[in-house]
Amino acid sequence: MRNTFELDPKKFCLSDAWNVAIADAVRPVAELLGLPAEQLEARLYKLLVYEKGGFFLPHRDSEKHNRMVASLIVVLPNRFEGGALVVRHGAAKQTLTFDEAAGGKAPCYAAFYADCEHEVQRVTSGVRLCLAYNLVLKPKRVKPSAAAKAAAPADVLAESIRSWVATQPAQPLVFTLEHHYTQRGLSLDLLKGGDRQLADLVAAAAKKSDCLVHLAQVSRHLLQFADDGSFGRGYFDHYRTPRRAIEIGETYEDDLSGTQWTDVRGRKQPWGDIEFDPSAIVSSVPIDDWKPTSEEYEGYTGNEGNTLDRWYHRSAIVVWHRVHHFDVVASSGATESLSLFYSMAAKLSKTPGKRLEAARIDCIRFARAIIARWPHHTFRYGHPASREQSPYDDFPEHLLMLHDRDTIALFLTKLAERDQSLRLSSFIVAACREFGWSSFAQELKHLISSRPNMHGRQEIPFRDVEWLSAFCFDKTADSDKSALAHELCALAVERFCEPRSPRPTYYSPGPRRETSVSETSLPLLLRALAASGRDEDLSHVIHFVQELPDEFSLDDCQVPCLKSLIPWSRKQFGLVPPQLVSWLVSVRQKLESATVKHPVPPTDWARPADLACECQYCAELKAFLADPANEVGRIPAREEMRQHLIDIIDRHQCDVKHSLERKGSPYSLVLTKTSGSFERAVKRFEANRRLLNALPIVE
Amino acid sequence: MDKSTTVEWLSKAIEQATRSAKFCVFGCLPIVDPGIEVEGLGAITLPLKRTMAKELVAFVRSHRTEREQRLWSTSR
Repeated sequence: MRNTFELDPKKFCLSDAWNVAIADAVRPVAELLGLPAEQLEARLYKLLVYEKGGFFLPHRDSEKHNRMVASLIVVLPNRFEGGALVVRHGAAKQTLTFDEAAGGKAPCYAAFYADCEHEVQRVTSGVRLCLAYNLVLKPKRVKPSAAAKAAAPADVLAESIRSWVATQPAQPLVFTLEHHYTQRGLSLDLLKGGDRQLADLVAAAAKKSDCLVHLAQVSRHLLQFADDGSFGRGYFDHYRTPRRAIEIGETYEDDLSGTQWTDVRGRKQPWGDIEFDPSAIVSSVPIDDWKPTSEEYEGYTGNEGNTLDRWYHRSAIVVWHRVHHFDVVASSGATESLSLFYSMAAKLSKTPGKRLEAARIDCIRFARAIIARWPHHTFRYGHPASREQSPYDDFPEHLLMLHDRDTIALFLTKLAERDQSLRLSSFIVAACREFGWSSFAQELKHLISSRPNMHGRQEIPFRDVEWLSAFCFDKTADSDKSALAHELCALAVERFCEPRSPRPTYYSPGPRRETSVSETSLPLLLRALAASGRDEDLSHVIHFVQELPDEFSLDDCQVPCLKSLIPWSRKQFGLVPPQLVSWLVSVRQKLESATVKHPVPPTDWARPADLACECQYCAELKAFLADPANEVGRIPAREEMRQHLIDIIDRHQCDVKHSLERKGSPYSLVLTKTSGSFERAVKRFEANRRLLNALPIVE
Repeated sequence: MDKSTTVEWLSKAIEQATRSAKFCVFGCLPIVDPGIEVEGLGAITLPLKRTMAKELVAFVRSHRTEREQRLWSTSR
């Protein structure tokens, strides 16, 4: 990388006259670089000694100070040859030979921005001595007056920004900068040269057009088809044939976003990545001519590859309208924007009266922007177990802190379209208590009867039954509340009791059964109906459940439901509603009749032989199953027919085990009878006995 | 002004507005002796005499930091 020696400033000192000369030189340097002269200061960094053969390959200086913007190199008068300094910035290049210093006549200097690539070419004779300084911008106390200076052009620019906002209200307008800045350099007062002028102009114009200004790193990732001649070749050709230059084809991915956000004073902003529209990039170099920061080519690998990944990075000033600030922030992803909203909402209670209304309006705008981007949560038909913990879960609680009816109404409407699983019980009850029980009548009715655009069966989500139950249970005596509770219960019952579509023909009840959404919701729905005095609906639902024993199983639903509801209603109302009593009686009778006689083991080898298929092989299987004399049978069959028989055996839970006999042609499926049906009947009998014993007693 | 015209116009305006800035400036300083005094070596007079040049090079070589001794250093 280099062949040079350096001496730390702790090990040497310089004369006062020299230090004064350097301070004097910094002023014109600042002006030429477009930096504020009164703030720029040179801080000694190193004494560098290049003897014959010394060099320094191209590199960029790291920013040693928080506010370092440039480097100053002073080459001291001492005879040497070679050792030219080459500085590059984008496509521009400057070569400096420092003739006066190399001739031993006078010191020479060069100052350049810290992000410029530079190198020192090989010294061919003599000793090249130089002092390196960091040019640092001291913080300015007074407010920059740049806006005033740039007034006239800013007016024209402001007009253009207004025209952009009029057509693209929530789309950030991105002004790319010439220099690249680290995140700590992303502050208006640390910008360099032309960027500084641009920033002054944009900041003034943004102010006039009521826009906010932030800084960010722009990152673009392009993934394109690319071929070096290897595409589609065989494995051996791939290694034999020489490659050619890469040809780029269609674009698969093009992601453009802003990251590492800071405000104009360089303070970090708690946002994530914000996506940009490529047409919103204002750049003197068109976006497609940007130079990639890195690229990666993957050649042909048979099933992957022949792609070129390219990454581009630029720093930028980004502008958007004040009114749409939170729309832009909300687009930065749920994790960051929700946590920012939560902290803003939580601070409202401590905000002094003067600032409270403005802070509340900000929170309302932010909440509405989050609501507008609410994600779809409609999986597994609203099964309570289908929702994983997410940052959205705390949104309702924080929304209540804003005390805004319209935003709550907007939120409920959005949930009806997009979310079947966010738990809402305490939120809805609290909102109704605050704004009145009929305040959200429309929205709640819409929520309980909505069917997001989904395929297949749509049971009423558990979440909706849960909040309905909480609503009906609330002790507030209010005629509006009772009236709405009745309407909501009627809608819920209507949805709950919708005819079930028949099970698909391939369905067969497996040994492990999953509790359905309706089974889980049933106890809460019945409680809501009982609490609201909806006797007819209560009878209707119980009747519906009893008619569908496959949908509402005794084990997982009916018996557990009776076990919890009967003591609950006794405690709640002092008696058990007659609808529950007759349901209990009916279930008890079913279980009693099922447990009168213990199952009897089979006395011969005849087994149930009721199979759905009529094919020749299944006929042989049926005959074997019905045969009381034989325990073992053989069915010769080709492989696909053997597989068909195995499927039928599994689907009908036939009392046979099967194995393959590899003799003759075709091979035979060997069937050995078992007592599977009897064993299952014993298990069912014992389970029914347990359920019967578990049923509550009503006098 | 439509979307693309606005951005095109802004790009041109900004290019003109920022064209004057330089990325690198250079020149000569007044002839002032820097008065370098190195701890453990004494005053360094410029231009360097042959013996002083040798002594200075030997001194900086002997005071190389561990980081400098790594050939592939990435800092200045």
